[in-house]
Parts: sequence; C-alpha cells; structure tokens
Amino acid sequence: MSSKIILLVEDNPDDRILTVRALKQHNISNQIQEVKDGQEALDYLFGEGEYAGRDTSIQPQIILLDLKLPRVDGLEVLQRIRADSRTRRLPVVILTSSNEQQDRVSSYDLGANSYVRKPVDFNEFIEAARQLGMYWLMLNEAPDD
Amino acid sequence: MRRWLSRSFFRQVSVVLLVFSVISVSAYAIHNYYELRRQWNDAIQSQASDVTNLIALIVADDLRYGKTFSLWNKLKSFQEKGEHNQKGALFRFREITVLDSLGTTAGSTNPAGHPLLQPYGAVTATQTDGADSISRIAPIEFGGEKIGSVAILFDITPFKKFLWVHLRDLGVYLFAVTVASVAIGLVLAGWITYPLSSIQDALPLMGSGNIFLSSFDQRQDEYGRLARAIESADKRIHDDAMQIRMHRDTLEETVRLRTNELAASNKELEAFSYSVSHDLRAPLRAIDGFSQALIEDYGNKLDETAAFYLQRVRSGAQKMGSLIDDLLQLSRVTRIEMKYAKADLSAMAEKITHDFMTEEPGREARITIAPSLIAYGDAGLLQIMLQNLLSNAWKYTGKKSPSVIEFGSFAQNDEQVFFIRDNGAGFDMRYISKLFGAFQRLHTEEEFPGTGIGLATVQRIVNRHGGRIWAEGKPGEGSCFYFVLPQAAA
Ligand SMILES: Nc1ncnc2c1ncn2[C@@H]1O[C@H](COP(=O)(O)OP(=O)(O)OP(=O)(O)O)[C@@H](O)[C@H]1O
Ligand SMILES: [Mg+2]
Repeated sequence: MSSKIILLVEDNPDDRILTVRALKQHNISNQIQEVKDGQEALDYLFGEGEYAGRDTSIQPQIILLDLKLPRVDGLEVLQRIRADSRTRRLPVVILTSSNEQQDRVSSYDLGANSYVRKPVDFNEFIEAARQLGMYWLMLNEAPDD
Repeated sequence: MRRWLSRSFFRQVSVVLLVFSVISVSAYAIHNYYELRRQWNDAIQSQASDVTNLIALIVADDLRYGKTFSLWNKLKSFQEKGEHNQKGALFRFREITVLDSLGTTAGSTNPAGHPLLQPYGAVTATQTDGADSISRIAPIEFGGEKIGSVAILFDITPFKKFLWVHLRDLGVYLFAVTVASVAIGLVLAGWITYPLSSIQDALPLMGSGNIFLSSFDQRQDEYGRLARAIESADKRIHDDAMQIRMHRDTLEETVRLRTNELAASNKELEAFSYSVSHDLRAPLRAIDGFSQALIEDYGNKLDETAAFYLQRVRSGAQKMGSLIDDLLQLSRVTRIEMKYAKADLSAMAEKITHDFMTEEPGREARITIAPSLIAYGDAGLLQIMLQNLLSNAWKYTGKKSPSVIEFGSFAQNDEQVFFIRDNGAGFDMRYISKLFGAFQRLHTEEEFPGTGIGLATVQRIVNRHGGRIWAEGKPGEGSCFYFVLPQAAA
C-alpha cells in the first residue's frame, strides 16, 4: 500500500522552508514530514523515540535526505535504511550542497536512488525538485509492501 | 677451455708443469740416446777397422822375420790395452782367422786359456755384420804383394749392454727430473695460490669492518699490499655504510614525520573544503532563495527599484556561489590523486566546444581542432585544463564575429607543443606576469565577467604533470596559449 508522504531530512530551516515551498509551488500536494536530523529520521522510520507507537507499516513514498546532518549523518541513515527489510526498497534521493566526488560515490554505493546537489540558483533547484516530482512522485509507483 | 678454467688455479699449474716437464725431459732423453748411439757406433766401426789393419801388419811382420805367431801375445796385450780404453771395452774379439791368398785358412786361432777368444769355426771373407757382431777383413801384404788376409769377428754385446744400461739410466733420470720439477712446481703454485685462498675467505666479510689479514702484516710483497688494500677498503666501506645508514635512518624519520604532517594537513584541508562547499553555500542558498521567493510571491507589492535591488542581491549570491565552486576546484586540482593514461585531447576539445555552440547557437564561430592530439596524463585534470582554456577563448572572442579558435600542435626541440589560439580581445603583454595568478584578471567585470581562477587552475594542472605553459597576446587581436606535457614513459 502506498502512502503519499514525503520524508524531508534536513537540518537547515531555510533549506526546509525553501524545499517545501518549491514542492508546493509545483503542485506537489503530498504530506511532507519534516525531520531535523538523522536520528529523528531513523526514529520516524522505525517508530522509535518520540515516534514510538507510529504505525511503521506506513512508510514515506520518497525520502529526501541531506548528507551533512547533526548526530547521525546522511550516509549512515542511508545505510540503516538499506539494512532494514521494512525500508530497504524506499527510494532515497540525496539532497546536498556538497560537491565532493567522494560523497557521490559513497551514497550511490550505499544505495541512493538519485543525487541532487542543492543549487544556489533557485530555478535550478526547482528544476531538480520538479524532476524528482516527475520521476518519483508522479510517474513511478513505489513498490507495494 | 671453459672446463679447463673451471679447475682451480693450482690444478691448472700442476697439469701444465707435468705436461711440460714430461715432454721436455723425454725430448732431451730421446735425443741424447740416439746421438750417443750414433757417435759410439761410428767410433766402434772405425776402431774395428783400425784394429784389423794393425793385426794384418803384425801378421805381415811375423812372416817377414820368420817369427811364428807371436801374435797371440800381442793380441793379449792389445786386448788388455783395449780394456783400459773406454771405447775398446765395448767390444771383444770373438774369432781371428788368417787366410792365405787363396782364401783358405792359414791358421785359425782359438788360443786356449784366453777368455776373450772363443772358437768360431771357419770364417769366409764375405762374412757380414750380425746383430751383436761386426766383421772386418784386412789384406796381409808382403813385398808389395797380397799374400793373404786377416778376418776378425768382433763381439759387440758389451756395447749393446752399455746402450741398454744408458737407456735405463736415462729413464730413471727422466722420472726423477719429472717428479722433482712437478714437486717444485706444485710447491711454487701452492705458495702463490695459498695466500689467495685466505684472502678469498675474508672477502665475504667485505664491508663488515671485521677483515683482519694479520698473517700478511710482515709481508711487503704484492700479497702484503693486496691484503692491506683489502683491509682498508673494508674499513672504508664499513664506515661509509654506517654513515649512509645513519643518514637514511634520520631521513626516513624525517620523511615519516613530514608524511604524517602532510596527511594531517591534507585531511584538514579536505575537511575544510568540505565544510566550505557545504556550510558556506547554505546561507547563499537562503539569500538567493528567499529573494526569489520575494520576487515571485510579493512581486506586485514591490516597485521597480526594489525588484532591481533584489535582482542585485540574487546575482551577488550567485556570483559568490561560482566563486566557491572555482576555489574548490582549484584546491581539488592540487589534492586529487593522479591516474596516468593516454588522453585524447582532440576528442575532449570537440566535446567542450560542441557544448559552447549548443549553448549559444546564434554565434558565428570557426573552430578548428587538429585530429588525434594525444597527451599522457590524468584525464580528469586534462579535461578541466582544456575546459578552462577553451572557455577563455570562447569568452574573450565573444565580441568578434566570427570567433576564430584553433587547437593544434607543432614539434619543437623534440617536444610536442600544443596551442590554443583565438582572435579575441587579447591582452597587454606588460601584464603577462599576472596572467596565471589566482584572482588576477586583465579585463574588467563589465567587459568580460569572470573570477580570475581559471588560468591559475590550468597552471597547477600543467605543473602537476611536470609540463610548462606560456602565452602570447595582443590587445584587440587575439591571444595564444601554449603548453607542453611530458611524453609517456619519459
Ligand atoms: N583567451 C584569452 N584572451 C584574452 N585574455 C585572456 C584569455 N584568457 C585569459 N585571459 C585573461 O587572463 C585573465 C585570467 O584568466 P582566467 O581564466 O584565470 O580568469 P577569468 O576567465 O577571468 O575567470 P574564470 O576564473 O571564470 O575563468 C582573464 O581575466 C583575461 O583577462
Ligand atoms: Mg577563464
């Protein structure tokens, strides 16, 4: 069963606001769950900590994941998502300002589905978000589990 | 020959000595034996004739004076005389026959009691020499007339025996000389080679500082000098090696320290540039993003100036974003690990310029790229280098129609010199020293936008490849950038 939740893992409040605005502006009306760091993302996905008791059979349709996060960083979150049978098949798009080749290689190694560098140019960012919406929210149905 | 040289020097000398002495001594002995035999044989022959003639004279005398055969006494004394004579002793009378003129036996002697005269029977005048005998005939003359002859048969077995004894003595002599010369030779060879082997035993220790050839201390000869030279060479090598080892140890330690320092600072740099690219960009993104949001969401409430100002804010933020990108690229170009391979510069340039033309389809441009320009280096870095050089050529020919850009190469002093030439704005050669400096620009932002990091990056890439880059320019006419990259396996 597919939910229409987008999980946005982002520690920078500016980037959160701008990302949500970009998604909204492009008519993506899905519920957006915002979490502020890697630990909170994991708690949300596995129904632990402050999300204890959450129905974990409902999982987001897509995860937008920043790499540089306080406490648990993005690469580790990705690793844990891929290691757990409940979340293994969730599409994960890495959202980062990092231009380092190393980050790109390791995130693909760990099973990221796509990689979008957060561009300074907002129009470029919207284009990236639009493509994400196109490919992950509109066209592709996430595999049912 | 190789098998021969594989034996020890001692054995080589021994064999040579043995062969040499056997050959020389036997050659001498054989020569000596034959010469002696020939000489003495001649002597015996002529003496036999003399003796026969003499006896013939005595017989004639006896006949003349009517004495009958006082010969025997004469013969006896002759024989005795002969025994004292060294050569005479080599033969004996076996038979003396006196023949009358008709050839019949006038009297044969076989004097009893004389051991040397053995009965022999009739002898004819034609009797010839035997294996151990010689015969001689001499005429007996009386009054100028031959009245008979004397035939004597000499027994030469003593001579044969003498020769045999001589031969035996020679054999003993040959053997003794051979043994002696070989023995002397061996002692000599040993005397020469023995010190060599004790020196040889010491040589594996060369460089240890432990070679002490004290048994040679008293010797002033070649061996003594050799031993002392080896001792001092050993000490010198040992001392040098110690010094080198010490230097190496300190050097290794220094290298290790520096490597650690370098690794630490590289890591720091990496962390720094990572946070630069991540953290510095975030506020810019907010500035640009919220300005954009203002323009889009509240555009109707802003007057034209406010909208213009917001546009300036945005372009400032964007400019800083690309500055950060350029800076990061500059530092990455220095840090990145190089992977050497053949790189097709022509193909890279084709692709880069193709992208330019699709971005600005309206622009009139004539771009010539020589085919198969091949260099040896890191493909990623060479790509960045060409990207910067060609984008400059493209940018600074933007006000020319048509833009003419050429990428080619020529040979000079055994090197392949690549060049990228354009007919663009050019530059004043007076400022050439600033051309490759970071943030150094020869044109204003209004004329041509840019940050001034491109050529600094290019120069670092060329330097990392161990190559050279230089440029020529003329304001308003164009410029040409030349570079050389070391050849493969050079
Ligand atoms: N092909 C060219 N023709 C004329 N001038 C050039 C050319 N290439 C470089 N220059 C001069 O050298 C300066 C330094 O070039 P460089 O590529 O480092 O910086 P830039 O092009 O101004 O900025 P960017 O860092 O964006 O490349 C330029 O500002 C320009 O004045
Ligand atoms: Mg440039």
